[in-house]
This record gives sequence, structure tokens and C-alpha cells, in this order.
Amino acid sequence: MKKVSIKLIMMSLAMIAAVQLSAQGHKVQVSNPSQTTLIIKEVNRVSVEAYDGSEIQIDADSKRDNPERAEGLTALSARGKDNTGIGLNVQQEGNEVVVFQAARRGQGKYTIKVPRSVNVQIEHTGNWEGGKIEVYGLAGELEISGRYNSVYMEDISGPALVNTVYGKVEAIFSQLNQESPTSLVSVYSIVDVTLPAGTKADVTIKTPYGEAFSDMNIAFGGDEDGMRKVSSTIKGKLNGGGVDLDLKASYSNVYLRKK
Amino acid sequence: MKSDKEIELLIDKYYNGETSLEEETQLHNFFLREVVPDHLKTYQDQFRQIGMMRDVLPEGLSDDKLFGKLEESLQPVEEEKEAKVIVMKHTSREIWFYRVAAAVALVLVGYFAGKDSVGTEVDSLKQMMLTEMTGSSASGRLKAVNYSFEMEVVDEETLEALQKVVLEESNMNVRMKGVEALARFGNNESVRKTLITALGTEKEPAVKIVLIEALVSLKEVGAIENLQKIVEDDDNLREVRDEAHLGMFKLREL
Amino acid sequence: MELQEFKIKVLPVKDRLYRIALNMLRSVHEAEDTLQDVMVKLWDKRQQLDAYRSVEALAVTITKNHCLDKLKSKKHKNQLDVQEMELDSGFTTPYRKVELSDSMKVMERAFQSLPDQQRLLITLRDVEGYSYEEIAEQTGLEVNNIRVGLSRARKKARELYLKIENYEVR
Repeated sequence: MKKVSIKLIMMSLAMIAAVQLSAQGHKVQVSNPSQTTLIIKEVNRVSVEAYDGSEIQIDADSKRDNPERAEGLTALSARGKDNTGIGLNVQQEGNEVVVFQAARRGQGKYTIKVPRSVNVQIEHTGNWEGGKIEVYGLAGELEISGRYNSVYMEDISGPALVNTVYGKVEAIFSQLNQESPTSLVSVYSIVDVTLPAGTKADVTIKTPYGEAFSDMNIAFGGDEDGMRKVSSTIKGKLNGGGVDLDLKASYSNVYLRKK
Repeated sequence: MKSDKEIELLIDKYYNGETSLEEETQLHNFFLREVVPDHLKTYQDQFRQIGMMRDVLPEGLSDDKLFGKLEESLQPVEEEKEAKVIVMKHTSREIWFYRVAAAVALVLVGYFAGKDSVGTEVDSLKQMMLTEMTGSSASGRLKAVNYSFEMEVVDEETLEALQKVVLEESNMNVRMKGVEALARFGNNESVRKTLITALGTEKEPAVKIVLIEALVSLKEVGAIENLQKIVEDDDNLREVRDEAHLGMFKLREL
Repeated sequence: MELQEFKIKVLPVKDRLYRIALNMLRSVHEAEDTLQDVMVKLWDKRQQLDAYRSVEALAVTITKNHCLDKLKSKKHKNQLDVQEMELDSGFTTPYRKVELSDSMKVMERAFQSLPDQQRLLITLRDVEGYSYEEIAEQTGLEVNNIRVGLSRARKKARELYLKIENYEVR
């Protein structure tokens, strides 16, 4: 826990520094976080981080340099215009806030700070420079769909529905929401999940062409200590059973760890 | 306004069950203040929480609904046949928590007992599942699909809902689960047709693979044509094409 | 009594009955469901209404009994383990109109995890503000026992609250 908070503090410090340097950002007021869904489409290299506040704050860590001759003009995109000055188009409609990449940015990363209970959907199906999708500290519902992207989630509580084709899925849960199921899928890469030791779940792990490893006490037969290999589909109960937890890595391995 | 000392005395009386209603009101008013002396802070949440509980109103319970069962009991038989649709609000999602397990046991009984009270109970639970299956929360939809795994027998309506999930669901995790759920009822002709159709339209490689697995295990020879297309389409991932090729091979051997 | 007359008599207590059922059953759906059943019961007993001081007293009694029956028959866990209930399990949504501070969520949990009888007393007295005499009529308990039970419930709620608050302070 300490490690995590130090990491978070350092990250937020780094972010503050970045923001001060570039002072490029965009804010959206949110009146009812748990009823609000943030939809992020095709945004490259994005990190969504929970904080104790009531607005969605979008920042870019490096300044986008428009060519000099673009002075007084805005970047155009088939998908809509850059209405933030940082290459993104942001729209708010009812309970939805939609963010998508409007202008190309070759480098740098977007950091989106959101109230903890906001629901977040991230979609990235484009086949270039998708980069890593990162999520920290969220307690709302997560829906992430990627293609070339790796997905890294830390200190989340779910429910989370995540799928990607080429990237890996890593998730560190602070607790596992018992109300609705969680499902994490990668086709070509690993799915690596860390749960608090006492987490209750009905877990299904599918690794048709890979292997599954765990150091958790999954009740489905004989028990051994340590990480152990299990067959291609396993179903079992963690701590007596609970919410459905589906993990699948079609051509790679699943790792299920306890914290 | 009372002094802090007096409030402390009242707090003691309160926890000993000795306060009058009037004194309790004084306590509530005191703790409603924004600023409360530090040493009394830990008491504040208790009174504030009760304050919130006082404000709760039955928002989802219209007067018509309140007297619904009564009206029904006064006019027997006639409208029995219309299955009641229970409107699911997001706030009442936790009912799943309590009722799904009970429902599982009831489904079989209900199936044989027909449309008596048990039958309607099952109906309304099924309605909840169907409503959730088209809800706005992807995880909620996944939960509804998962729930169908608990059912040994399903009716047309449920099958149709699952078929819709397979063909139209936007979230890939849910769609994939939908394929697995639907494949359990593969002895049904229209189910197999849906799976074949889905194989032709599905874009996500992971779901394609599950579809191929399902159709092969159902020995559905009708899938060969779509499998052939997948094998020939260079846009597909190599592994998906391999899987399709293997599937064709197995089905042709039959 | 005509149906219309019955409705007019009952409607003023609807909100209270709902809060009682909700606090007892901790589920919006079950509370709504129970209230519909209570209306049927109350109608069946309308002849006895005269014996009671008010429709309200009888309605509260029926609601209370219904909830306790339900808690027993449905094999609800009678007591929820406070430590196990998750902060954002969705379990606590019935009361949320606004985002609660963490310490308020803890208090909410503490109330919800009180034993049935204690939850009932807190609801009748602290939430609904009934007099001891009224509560005696509704529950069949002696006034003195109500005071003692209420004192325990209030202390217990605070004790649970402090326990988790301290436990969760890192």
C-alpha cells in the first residue's frame, strides 16, 4: 500500500510539474460522478487517474507545436475539431463526456483526472501509435477495448470489462466489486491479475493455447502451494465463491496472484 | 442554541436511551451545523446519517404500484396471463444479489408448474434478466448473460435475447459470453443459424475463435461455407484462419 | 370501507412505511415489494382498524412483521459483517442522493449491519420520531425494554463506526 501511495504521489508531483510547464489543459464540470460516463475514443497514450475532485481534468504532458503558419487557425480532422488546444475534441452530452483524438500528436501522453466514481469507457481500434492505456484508482465501471494497446490498471475495484488483441492486460485490484462481473481478455498477450488475498469470486480462466498460473487458493480439487500450472479451462471458487471473474488469454498465459 | 456542555450532557442521555423527542431534535439541529467542536466530531456522522435516512422517499413506488397487488387480488383471474414487466431501475440492481440464487431453484419448478404464482415469480425474474441484458452498463449486461447459465431450460424470449446479444452487443466481452451462453442451446435450429450468421459478421478475432469452437462442437456442417471465407480472407489473423481451417477439416470428416 | 376510502387513509403513511421496510430489508426492490404485500394484508384487516388507535399503528405493525418474516424466510444473513461490506458495493445505494464522505459511508454501513431488532428501533425512534408509547404499540415491547434496546443500538452503531474508522485509518 505504501509503495503504491508513494508511486501515486510521485506521479502526481510529476504531473503537476508537467502541467505547470505546459499549462495546457481542459476541464469539464461533473455534477453527479457515479452517474457520469467518460468515453475516450482513439486517444493515443492515455492515463486515467482518480482524484478527489468534481471535475474531469484533461492535460497533455507536452506542448503540441502547431506550425507557425497555423497561427489563428485550428487543426481540422475528419472526426471533429480540436476544441481543447491539446489535440482533443471534448463534448459533454447529458451524463456522457466524450473525448476523442482530433489532431495527430506524435508524442507525449494525455492524463485525464476524474472523480473516483465516474464510469469510464476507453476504445482504441486504430492500428497506429495506440500506446498503453493506463487507469489508476477508479471505483466506477470500466469498459476498455483495445487492439494494439496494452492495458494497465492499478488500485481499481471493478467491475471491469477489458479486451485487447495484441497487448497485455494487467490489473491490480484494491477490491473486487461483488455486484457485477469482471472479464479480462487478451488474444495474443498475457492477462496478469492481482487480487487481495481474501477476495471472493467464481473464477473462470481460459487459456486454450497457453497456460494459467496462480498462487491463490482456488477451490476445484487438490491444493498445492506456490504458483502452479493448471489445465486450459479452469473453474473454481476463491474464498468460498462470489462474483463472476472471467480471465482469458487465447494464445498466451494467465497469471492470477494474491496481494 | 445550547452550549457545548449542555450538548455533551444530552449526548450522554441519548446513548442511554433517556432523551425526549424534543431533546433529540436539539441534538440533530446542533449536529446539522457545519462547524462542530473537534471533540464532538465523531458524533456528527451518526446524526447526519439519520438525517439522511429521514429524507428517503419511495421514488420508484407510485401509488398505482403501491396498490398494485391489492387491486390485482380484488379482480381475480382476468389479467393473469399478461406477464408483469418489472421495471428495473439502476438503484434496485442489488435485488440480483438476493434473488438470483432463489430464482435458479424456482426455474425448474416454474417450468413444470406452469403459470401459477411460482410461474409469475420466474417470469418477473426472467424479465429482470432481459431488461438488464439491454441495459446501459456493460457489466450489468454481462451479468444478465451469466445468469442464463443458471437456467436449464429457456423459453423463446430468452433465446431471442441471447441471439440479439450475439449479433448486436457492442461490448466484446459480453458478446463472447453470449456466444458461449447461446451455444448451450445448440439443439435449437434458429440458435445454430444465428451462430453461423455471427461467424460471417463478427470482427473480433477472440469472438470468432469462440464461434468456431462452438459450431464445431455442435457439428454444424452449415458453418463450412463461412469457415471457408475466413480461411480465404487475408485480413483475418493467422491463428483465426488456422482455427477455421481446422474446424472445416473436423466438420468435413463427419 | 370502500377501497377509495382505504387508500386515502393509507397514503399519508406510505413514506414512513417505505423507510421502515427499506431500513429493515436494505433493498429498494424488496422494500417496494413488501409494501405492496402490506397493502393487501392491511385491506384484509380493515375490520380490525377500529381496535387500533390509528391506521398508522396497524400499518407499521404489519410492515414490521412482514419484514422480519422476510428476513427469516429468505435466509438473509441476519447480520452483515461490517468489515466485509465493501464501500462501493452498490449495496448502500438506497440512501445515496449525494456522494457521501468516506466517514459517512462507514456510518451508513454501521447502521446497516446492526441486528434486525436494533435497526427497527433506530428506524422507529430516530428516523421516524415515534414516541415510546407508539413504539410499544407497534412492536409489543415494554417501554423500558425499548429504551434499553435503543440505547444498545445507538451505542453499537457508534462502536462499529469507530471500529472501522480506526481500522481504516492508515
